[in-house]
Amino acid sequence: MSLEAKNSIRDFINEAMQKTGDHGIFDDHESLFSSGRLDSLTMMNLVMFLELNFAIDFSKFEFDVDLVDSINAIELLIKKK
Amino acid sequence: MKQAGFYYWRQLWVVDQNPYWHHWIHRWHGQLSAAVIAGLVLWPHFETSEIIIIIAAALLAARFQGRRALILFAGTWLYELLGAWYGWTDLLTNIKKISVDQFGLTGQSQTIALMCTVACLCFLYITLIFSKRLPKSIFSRHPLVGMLLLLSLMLLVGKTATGSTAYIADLVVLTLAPYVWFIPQAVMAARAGKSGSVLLNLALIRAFWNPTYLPYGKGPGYLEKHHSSNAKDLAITQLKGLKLLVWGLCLYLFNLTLSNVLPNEFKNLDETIAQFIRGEEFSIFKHWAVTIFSTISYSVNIAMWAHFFIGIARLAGYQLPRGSWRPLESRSLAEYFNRFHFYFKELLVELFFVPTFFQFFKTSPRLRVFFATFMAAGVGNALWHFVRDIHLVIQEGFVYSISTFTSYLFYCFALSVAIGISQIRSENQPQRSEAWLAKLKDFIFVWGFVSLLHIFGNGSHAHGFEERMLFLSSLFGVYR
Repeated sequence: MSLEAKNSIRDFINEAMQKTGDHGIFDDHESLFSSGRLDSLTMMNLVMFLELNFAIDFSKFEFDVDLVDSINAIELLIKKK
Repeated sequence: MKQAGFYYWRQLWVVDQNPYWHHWIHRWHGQLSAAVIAGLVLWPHFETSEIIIIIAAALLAARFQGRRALILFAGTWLYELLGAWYGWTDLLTNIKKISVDQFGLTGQSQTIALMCTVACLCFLYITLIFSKRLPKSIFSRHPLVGMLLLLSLMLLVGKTATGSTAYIADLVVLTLAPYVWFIPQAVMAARAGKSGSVLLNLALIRAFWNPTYLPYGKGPGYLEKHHSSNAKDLAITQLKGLKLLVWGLCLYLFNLTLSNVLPNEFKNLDETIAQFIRGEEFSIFKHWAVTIFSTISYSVNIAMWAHFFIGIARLAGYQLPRGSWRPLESRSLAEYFNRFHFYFKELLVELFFVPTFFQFFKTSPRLRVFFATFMAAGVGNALWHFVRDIHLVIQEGFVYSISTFTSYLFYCFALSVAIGISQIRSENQPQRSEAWLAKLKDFIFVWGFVSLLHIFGNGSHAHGFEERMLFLSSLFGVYR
C-alpha cells in the first residue's frame, strides 16, 4: 500500500476521532474498535470508505472486526484483496 | 486545606494509576479487602451464597492463571446449578408456575430445574463441539436463526401437543431461552478458534457474573482477547473493577434516596397510567414528573447493573469497557444508544446490523446505514425483549404476549427510526460546538426524546400501545 493511501486511511480515522472529541494520537498497530475507542457505526463508515476507495469486496470475507481493527490490519486486508 | 482535601480524594479515586496500590491488590490483604468491598457492594442485591461463589470464582480465576478455565467453569456452573435449586434465576420460578398451573405437578420443581440445567450444559457442549468440527454447517454459520427456530418449534409443540410431550417442550423453551443470545457468540468464537478450549468456552458462555439474557462481555472470543496478560495489567484491571463496583453502589444509593424522597404518587409510571385510564383526577405536572422520575430511575438502574457485572468481570481479570459510560453527555441519539447500553448495542450490531449492512442496499450508503440500524435497534431490540419474556407465551398464551407487547414494538420502531436519522445526520455534520449552550440544547433534545419514549419502553406488560399513547397525549394537554 502506498504512503498516500495509508495517509488517506489515517486521515479518515483521525477525522472520525475528532468528531467524538478524541484528540489523542494512535499507532499503526493500535486497536481502534475492539478497544472501544471508536464505535461500530464508525467501523461501518470505514468499511464503506474502503469499499469505495480501495475496491474491497467484503462479501468475499467473513466480516470480523479484526480485519479493520488497526491501520496495520487494514493494510494487510488491502494487500490480500 | 480544601485543595489538599481534593488532592487526597483525587488520589484515592485514581488508585489504578498508583504503583503502591498495584502491589497492594496482589498481596493477600489486598485480595481480602477486594473481596470484602465487592461483597458489601453486592450484598443488597444477591444471596450470601451467590456472593461467595461470584467473588471467589472471580478472584481465584485471576490469581491462579494456570487453572483459570477450570475455576471459571466451576464458578459458572456451580452458580447455575445452585441457582436452579435455590431459585436465584427465573428458571425455578417459571418451572414451578407451569408445573403447578398447567400440568398439576407439585413438589418436584427443584429437581426438574436441576435436571434441566444439566441437560442444558450437555446441549451446549454438543453444540460447541459440533461448531468446532463442522464450522461450515448451516447451524454454525447461522446460530441465532437456528436457536430461534428451535425455540419456535418447541413453543409450537408445547401449544399443540398434550401431556408429557407438551411439558418437555415447555421445559426446553424455559431452559434454553436465556442462552439464545449467548450461543451465537460462543459458536462464532468456537468456529474461529478464538475462545481456547471447549471447557473455557463453556465457562464463559454465560459467565457467573452475568445471570441475565444479555452478554455483558460479548462472549468468549472477546473476553479471551481482553484478558489481562501480566501482573501489572491484572492489578490495574482489578482496581478498575473495584472502582466500578463502588460507582455502582453510588448509583444504587442515589436510586434508593430518590425513591425515599419522592412522594408515592410520583413513583410508579404504570400505576399513574392506570389511574389516568380509569379517569381519576390528574395534573399535567404530575404526569411529567412521573415520566421524568421513571426515566431517571430506569436509566440509573440499567447503569448500576452494568457496573456490577463489568466490575466483577474485571475482578476476574477481564479488561472490559464499561456498560454505561457518561450517557448524560450524549450529543445525539446514536451516541446515547452507544453510551447508555454499550453491550446491548454491541449485541444488536453484531447479530443484526453487520449482517444486514453487508447484504442490502450496497449502492445506496444512506439507505444502507438506515436499514441496518432499523434491523438492529428495531427488529433485533424487539426480538430480544420478546425472547426475554417468552415465559409469558407459555403461561398466558400468544394473544396476551403479543397484545401487551404492542407498546414495546412501537418503542423499537420509533427508537430505530430516530437513531437511523441521527446517524445519517451525524455523518454530514461538522464537529459539534463545545459551547455550553449547544451542549445543553443537545442534552434537552436527547433526554427529552428518551423520556417521552420511555412511556412505551419501560419494560412492563401492564398497558398496551393505545393506553400509553393516551398518556403521552395528556402530557401535552390532549386528553379525553
